[in-house]
Amino acid sequence: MRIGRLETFLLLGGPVLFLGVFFLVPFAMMALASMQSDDGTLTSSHYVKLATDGYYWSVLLLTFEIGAGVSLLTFLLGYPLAYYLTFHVSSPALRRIIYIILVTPLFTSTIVRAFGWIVMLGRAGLVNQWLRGLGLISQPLDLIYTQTSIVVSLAYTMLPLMVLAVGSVLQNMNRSLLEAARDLGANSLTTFLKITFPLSLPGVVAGSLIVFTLSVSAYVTPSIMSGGRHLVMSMLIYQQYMVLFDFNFGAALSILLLVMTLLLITAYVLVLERSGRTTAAP
Amino acid sequence: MRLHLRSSIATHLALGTIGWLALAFLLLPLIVVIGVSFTETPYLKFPPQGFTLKWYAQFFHDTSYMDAFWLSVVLATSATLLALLLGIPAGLVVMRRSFPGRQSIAAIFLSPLILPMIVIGVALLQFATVAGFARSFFALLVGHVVVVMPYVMRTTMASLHSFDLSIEEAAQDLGATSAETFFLVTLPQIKPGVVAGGLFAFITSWINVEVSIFHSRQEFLTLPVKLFNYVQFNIDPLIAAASAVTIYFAVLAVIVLDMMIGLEKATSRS
Amino acid sequence: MSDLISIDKLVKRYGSVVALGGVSLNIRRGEFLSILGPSGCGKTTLLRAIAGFVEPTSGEIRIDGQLMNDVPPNRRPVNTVFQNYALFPHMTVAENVAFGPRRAGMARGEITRRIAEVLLAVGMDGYGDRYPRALSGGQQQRIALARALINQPQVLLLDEPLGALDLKLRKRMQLELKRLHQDFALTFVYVTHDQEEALAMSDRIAVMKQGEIVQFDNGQEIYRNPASRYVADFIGEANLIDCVLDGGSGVRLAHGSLVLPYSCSGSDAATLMVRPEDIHLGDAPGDAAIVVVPATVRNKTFIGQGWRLVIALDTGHVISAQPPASAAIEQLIPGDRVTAWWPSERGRLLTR
Repeated sequence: MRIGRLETFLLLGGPVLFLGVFFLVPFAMMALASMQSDDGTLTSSHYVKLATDGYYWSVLLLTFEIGAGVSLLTFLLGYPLAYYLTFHVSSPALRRIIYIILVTPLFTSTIVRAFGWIVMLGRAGLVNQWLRGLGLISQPLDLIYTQTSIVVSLAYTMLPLMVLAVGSVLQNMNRSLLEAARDLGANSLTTFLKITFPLSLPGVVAGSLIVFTLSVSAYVTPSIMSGGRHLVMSMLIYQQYMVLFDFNFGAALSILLLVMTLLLITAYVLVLERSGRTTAAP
Repeated sequence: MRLHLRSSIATHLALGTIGWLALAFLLLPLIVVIGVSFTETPYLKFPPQGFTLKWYAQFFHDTSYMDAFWLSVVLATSATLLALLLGIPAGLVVMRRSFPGRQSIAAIFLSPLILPMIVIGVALLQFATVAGFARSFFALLVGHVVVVMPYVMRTTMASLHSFDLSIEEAAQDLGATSAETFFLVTLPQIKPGVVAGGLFAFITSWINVEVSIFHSRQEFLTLPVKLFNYVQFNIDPLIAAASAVTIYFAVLAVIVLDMMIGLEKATSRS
Repeated sequence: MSDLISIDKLVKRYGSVVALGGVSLNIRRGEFLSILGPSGCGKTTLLRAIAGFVEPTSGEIRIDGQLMNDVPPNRRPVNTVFQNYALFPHMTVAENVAFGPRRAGMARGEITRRIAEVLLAVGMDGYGDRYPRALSGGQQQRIALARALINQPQVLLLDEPLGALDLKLRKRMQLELKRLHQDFALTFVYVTHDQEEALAMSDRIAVMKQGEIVQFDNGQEIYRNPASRYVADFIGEANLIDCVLDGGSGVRLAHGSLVLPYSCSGSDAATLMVRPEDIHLGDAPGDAAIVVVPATVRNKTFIGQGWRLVIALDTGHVISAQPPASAAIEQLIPGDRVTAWWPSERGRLLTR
């Protein structure tokens, strides 16, 4: 179908206009606000505050620590599951069931998932109820409101994404390479360590970056699971906008988070391009 | 696509164990929430004591919950329709016609998929405040469309990727205009992808919190935002019932998606 | 004037690549024309330009006198049979075939009648409710034909339609296409890289090379009088033997002293073309109008309808011969000395 100039204009016009007005303009406005003080004059004070005040560095550090923890946990749980699903599940019915289990949580709201963890780990939650009922403890344990609980519940949210990313690469892997390795005398473990795993790295990197990026910018889960005792970047941003009404400093924080995300994505694209040359494509 | 390597039984068992542990991990919170929603006790108890639907009844009779529920439904439906109207043409043009800046435009259109949702939310809040429509349905709608349109565009582009162009040429050869070609030949072919995209869009809007919280008012909440507010103060079986309803929605959507084009295909990135 | 299509100096450039370098062609009403050439020669580009899918860089295309350059494909009086058939997978056979008439606004009853007619003509009656994926390649091909024919186009364009079929099926379909051409009294423009196919089916053949037509004539002429080495080599089998000028305008085989009864002027080197089936082995008749060269047999292959021998002429040239079968030929073995001869008028001197 020849899409002529006129048709391009008409078809693309709507989306371009819409996103231009409601996506790009707000971002431009936010970038501008991050460099304005309350009376509208241009200033770099917000960024200076960010760079020099140790408090914000600590928040950033915590955010990144959590992100790294989530990536690691999802990798440790997700890679075996993806491998199992790809190479050890042959029944199509079972595959469908597993995919349903994987995707259903993704279709529930993060708040519902966090609620599930509160139900289990909260002070009035199930684990504490059991332990008290069994007489093992007299006071409820603080299972949530810890950094670990944030990592665990975020990992819960992100696990399906890691499994899908790794699984996709494992599925499309050229089987004859693995068979060749076996033919040449390698056992299962060696084949995995020397062939399968290295070739699956693009999927691991992709999954880790998606998980890390989304964890670092997550709001609902850390907000609920931290109980106010820990603060991550997104919570800080929310505070600025909805509690302190400091739109300008909030904008600076947002731009910082945005820039970090873009850097991560660029890194991902570069890694992907480089590994694309060494991956043996079928 | 099973690899016929003779892995040892031990490997198979070990992998299976971790695999199923991970799957149980994925199911656990959802099952707990659903289980707790049936308890007769006024506090959370799992396994539930007794069996009652009174919390669901309360949920469906609660005006504020129902208002939130319907707002979410209307919002998701409108956002999806708009996303289809914008995302399909965008996907079509990007895949079919090369023009300067094509890659960049595609990247920008798809960027909400990976950008921090909270940043999208606050940027829109700022803009809406200045433009005077903050905390309105319009603001909510616009924010949701920005966030969900990429899902439609992405699946549309994927459908067009492996598309046999010669059938479109055949249609033209036989006398069809561009519009006729699109509606009679192209659209039926990309329908599965478009439907999947629409479904992803709907669900993404339905469960969204990070954009909705910035545009809500006390009387004007989506269901996820309402749940978010309550959860911070008290947790009781009523919230469990409300949450469970959304889980049932999710299961329904997943099954519909699986029946329409298969989950494996819908989630593959190839 | 019975020129249905006239193409005048058609040029198509893609960046710096010249797909068509100024092609001019007149296609007569009712003829079966083949455009023949190897892949990349521009034949498909030419066909698609007639169909309207390729916009010419310059030049004109006229159908029935009307300029077609700005007319989009859906308004041209031509229909195409695509190489991969391009049947609509989500429609039944009947819906596929009805597509063209529906676009033209034909009445339902009339369409139904015509579908039945055309399916019968291609031997696929009764298949109306099937889906394309349930059909074999050959069957899909016939439906593609039916879908095009039902519109009674002035010109039917066929883009290597038989390429995906096996040999036997291909030969059968060639006969079918000829029959359809006659029965429907249409003009066919047929693109192929198979010279046997072109020779078998066409009234005229346009041989293309790198974006240009190098010879345009009926099959027999092209076969007997190829215009260049390229055409000689492409159509049928040809032995191409280098020759050199022998003073004046005489010619002799290179590396030899044998003067040939051919003349040429105005070029330093020439090639003698002789077809293997014109080369005889054995005692030459005492006729002045033959060329005789002693040779040695190199090898011998049985090809069903006779023998093909590779022989080395005493001048050093190695050629193929496919002489009429005889007991003497059967007894030849590699290493034997033979006399190769051919009627001089069967040889052609090519200077290009």
